[in-house]
This record gives sequence, structure tokens and C-alpha cells, in this order.
Amino acid sequence: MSPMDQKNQPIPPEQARALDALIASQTDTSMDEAQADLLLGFVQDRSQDSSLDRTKDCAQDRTKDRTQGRTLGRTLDRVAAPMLDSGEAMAQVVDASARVAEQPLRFALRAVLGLGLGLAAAAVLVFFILPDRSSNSESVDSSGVSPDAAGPIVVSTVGSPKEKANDGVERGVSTEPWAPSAILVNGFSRTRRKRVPAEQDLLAAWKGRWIPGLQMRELHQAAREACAAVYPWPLVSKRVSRPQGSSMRVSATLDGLGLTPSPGILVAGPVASARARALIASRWLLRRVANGSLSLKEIHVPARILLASRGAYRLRLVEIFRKSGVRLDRLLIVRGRHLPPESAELLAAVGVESSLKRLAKVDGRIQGRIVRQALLTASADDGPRSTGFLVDFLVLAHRRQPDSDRIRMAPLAELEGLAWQRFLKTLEDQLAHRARYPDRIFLERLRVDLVSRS
Amino acid sequence: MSDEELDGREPRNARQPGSDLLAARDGDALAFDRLLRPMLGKLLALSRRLTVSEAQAEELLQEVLIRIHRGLAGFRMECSFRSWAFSILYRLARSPGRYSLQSRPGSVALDETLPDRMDVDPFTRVSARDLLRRVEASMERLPLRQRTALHLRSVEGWSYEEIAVALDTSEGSTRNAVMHARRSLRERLGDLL
Repeated sequence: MSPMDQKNQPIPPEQARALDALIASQTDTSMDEAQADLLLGFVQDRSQDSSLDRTKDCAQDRTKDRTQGRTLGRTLDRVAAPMLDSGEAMAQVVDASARVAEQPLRFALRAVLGLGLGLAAAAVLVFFILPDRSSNSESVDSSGVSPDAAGPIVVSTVGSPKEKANDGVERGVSTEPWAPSAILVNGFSRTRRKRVPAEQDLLAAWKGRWIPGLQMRELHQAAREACAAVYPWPLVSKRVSRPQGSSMRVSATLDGLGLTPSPGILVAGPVASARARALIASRWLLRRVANGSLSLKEIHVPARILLASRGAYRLRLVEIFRKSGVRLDRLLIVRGRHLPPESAELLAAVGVESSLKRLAKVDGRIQGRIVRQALLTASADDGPRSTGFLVDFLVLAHRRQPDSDRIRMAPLAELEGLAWQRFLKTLEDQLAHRARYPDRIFLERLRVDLVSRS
Repeated sequence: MSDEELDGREPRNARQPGSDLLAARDGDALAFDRLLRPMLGKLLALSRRLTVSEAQAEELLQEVLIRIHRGLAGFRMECSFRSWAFSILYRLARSPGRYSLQSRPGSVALDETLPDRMDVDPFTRVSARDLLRRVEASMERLPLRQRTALHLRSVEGWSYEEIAVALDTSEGSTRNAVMHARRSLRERLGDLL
């Protein structure tokens, strides 16, 4: 019997039963009571939202109309439903929809007239009532925002020359839930769309708990923002602006490391809570990358914090990178001749173990930056991984430029204390394992230099 | 007692609307809770089957519950409530671009964590995990319709007729999908049978 015939053979009942039993035995159909409570509670909470009730009412009306097959009535209903609050005229039009089958032409005429009246009422409302309500409020003048200001400038329009020019025009979006301008065509309110997740919900979700109502894209966006908040300069905008009275304080300069965009610029040192938040968000982002849900490019969001951090905070970030399961050596697989500088620095900061052949993608022209990153991690009381990367990279640099003493001496000048000891130990280990003779000679000379310096 | 009841399946007269269903349609929150609670685990199991991660499965289930709640008032009881609920889940899962239906090769699920306790023999634990992974991987390679049909048939024990309603297809097509799914699984898991 050929394999194709065997494949197309009918399945005997006992085999089908065994297969079903196997699948059923490997499927968990239970749910934790607490989780069920949380989920059903969330749905019940949503049901109390007036917008949902409104959507439900619209759905009921649509279903009724569909059953009766009244196309015109359905269309009118869809148009009229968001405008019910606008005036009595529209309500009359909707009420009359039941008579549409009997006298379609007459009804259509009345509907058009009613719609016109409704629109007129809405226009009157917008032009005469809403300006009165908003005339004493403050509105944001987008044209008056200075690029150097700490935040948007709030301009009062009362009595200003612009008042007449803006008469009758409401700036921005109304924040009242059911104001006409706040209702979208589909019946949802703008305010609900703009709802910001609670802080504790975000933190819990990043830590792995499931929070009903929180979408992945919201979590992702919030994680990026949390990382950007501690990043020394904005990720998106080049303009450096900070809100007044925020929790950011100017504390340090990243001078001497060559990490700032232009030397000497003061950068904001975030307070502890923002830094802790960024750690949690970074871990969540990296796990999503490791899981395959996000692309590898996303690691550059937490990577930027890592490259600009020092000390214990740096060590925590390095641990998060290592434990996340992201295969950083995949960064070395690039089409171009050289690895992008930021990726090379990240590999150095985390101390990625890879073959020298693959490490050859690291650009030799930025070796100073790479060595500094490895040294910063090693100085932050890290284990042997960062020094291991450093030794590998120095060997690689030596192969490229065998006669350059600067390569050997550059890192030695900055090694201190424990990092020096670890580096020496790594060197001795490498000496025992390296097979290539010129590499061994180089490492031996490096070791002698290191010992003599002590 | 009918054959279906003997098989542990839902009898045909299960289509008669229960009091909870009627009350839930009228907006009774407690009735809605009573109606949905027994189904949550089953819905979550199929969500897990149709998505690649626990997070996605939970998100899908949440979306399904919201849709059920919104649409309950318009539910015309032309089919059983559970068929309707599972059909919402199936439709949402297959909507393009919303949920990943197949994991990327070489990826490891985030939810897979080390056990807190090692009270079970490590060998047994590893064997059980390997078996679970094999079954899951084999199911994951099935097309979505076959996967759903086979799950509803083998795990939930539904009749072909009811599965056809949930998948919005004919009974013959459902039988065909289940048969093909079983054949594919027999090829991959034949040594376990």
C-alpha cells in the first residue's frame, strides 16, 4: 500500500476515539474562580457604561429593522441615533420610522424635512449655546506654543483680540461625554477612546497579571513611554522639553562617556519611581520580543536606557536583558558590512558571547565606544560576561591592527578594583583556551601589562 | 434517554431557552453571570487552541464576552446559546491580523515558566510536558476550521450539527473537516495511539 493510500484510509472508530481522548486529556478546560470573577466583573462594569447601553439600543433597533426589511428606516435610524439628544425634531423623525412601509414617499419627504430641522437645531445649539459655555474657559493656543517653552502655553481668550476671530469656534475636542462634538459616528465617545489606563493596572499587567480591558497595544505604548521618560533625551522629538513641576530633576551630565548627543548638555536624571517603572516596562518589552510578539527592533527602546545608565541600575538592566530570553546574537546577522553602532554597543554592554567570526561584523571604527560600554558594565560589579566580551573584542581588534599598542592600553587605563581582578582572571582563562598563537601572544602581553600596572 | 445524553452531549431540546438566558437578555446581571460562568473555562480552552499565547487567549476571551454582552439582546435563539457564543469566538479568532494563529518557529511561550514545586518526579513531568507540546504543536498545524471543529468534537463532545452552526457551515462540511483533522493528527501522533 502506497503512503498516499495509507493517508487516505478511513479512520477506524476506536482510533478516532483514542485520538479524541488524547486531545481531551491534553486540554485544560478549567478556569480559576478569581479570574472568572475578575472577567465577569469587568464585563458587568462595562455594561454600566452609558455608551454601551446606547450601542445596545442601536443594535436592538437595527435588529428590529432588519427583521422588518425596512432599508430606509434602518438608514434613518443609523443617522438619527447619535443625534437623539440634539432636539425634539429628530425624535419625531425616528418615531415615524414605523410608518415607512405604508407611505414611503410621504415618509421620505417628512424625514428629509425633519432631518433639516434637526440639523438646524444642532447648528443653533453650536453657534449660540456652546460659545457661551466655553467663552470663560481657557483654551490652548496652538499658534502660541514656543518651541523653547516647557509645555504648551495656556492662553485665556477672554477679552483678547483673538476672541472675535474665534467667535463660535470651539477649539479642541469637548471633554463632556455626550456633547455633540464628543460623539463619534459609531456611537462611542471620544473620552472613552482617550481613556488612560490606571497606573497600578499598567504595572500589574507588565508584571504578568491579566488586567481585563487593557489591550496589548495600550500596554506597548505605555511601556515605550515609560522607557522614554527615563531616557536622557526624547525618543521621538529632537526638541528637549520638560513639563514644569514634573518629577524629573536635572542631576547629572553624561560627560566623558561621549554618550550625549552634544557634550555638556544637561540631562534629566529621573527619580527612583520612574526608573523602577522603566525597569518593569523594559522587562515586559523584552519578554514580548523573546516571545516573538514584537520585532527585534523593539529592544532598542530599553537598550537606550541601558547604554546611558551606570552602577546598580545598569546592572539591573543588564540582568533583565540576559534573563529575557532575547537572542541578542541575532543582532549580528546583518546584511551590511557593519553592525549599527547602537547594536554593537548593546552587545558590549550585555556581554554577548559569540564567535569571533560573527563578532567581525562589529565596526572597528567605533571600538572606543564599544570598549567603554563593556567597561561600564564590568565596573558596575558585573560577572565575567562583560569582561569576556571585552577580551574577545580586543583579540578581534588586534587581528585587524596587530601593531597598535593603543588597543591594548585603552581599556587598561580605566580598569579598577574588582573589574580589574575579573578582567585578569578572564584573560588567564582565555590564555588557557585560545589555540591561535598570535592571539595567545597578544593576550600574554596584555596580561603582563595589566599585572605590571598593579 | 437519548443517544446524545448517553454520550454526555447536550440533548437536542437544549435549544429551549433557559430562564437565565431570558433574564440575561432582559439585563439581569446575576443571570448573565450564571449563564456565562460555566462556559468560561471552555471558551478559554478554545481561545488557547486558536491563539499562540496565553495573553492573546485571554484578550480574545475578553473580547468575546464583551461581544456576547452587547449582542445578547439581539440573540434570536435560532441556535443554542453555546453555539452562538462559540461562533463569536471563532469569527473573532479568524478575523485577519488580530490574533496570531500559528507561533513562529523556534519561539518559546512567555507563559511557560519553571514550576514552583518539584513534588512530581522530574521524568514524569518532562514526559507529560513533551506529550502536551506534541499534541499542541500537531493541533497548531491544522487549519483554523479543522482545528476548531476537532476541538469542539473531541473536547466538548458536540454533535456535528451544532459544530456546523458554530462554524457557520454545513454539517457535511464539518464532518469532512473533522475527518481531515483526524487524519492529519494520526500521521503526527500515530505512535501515541
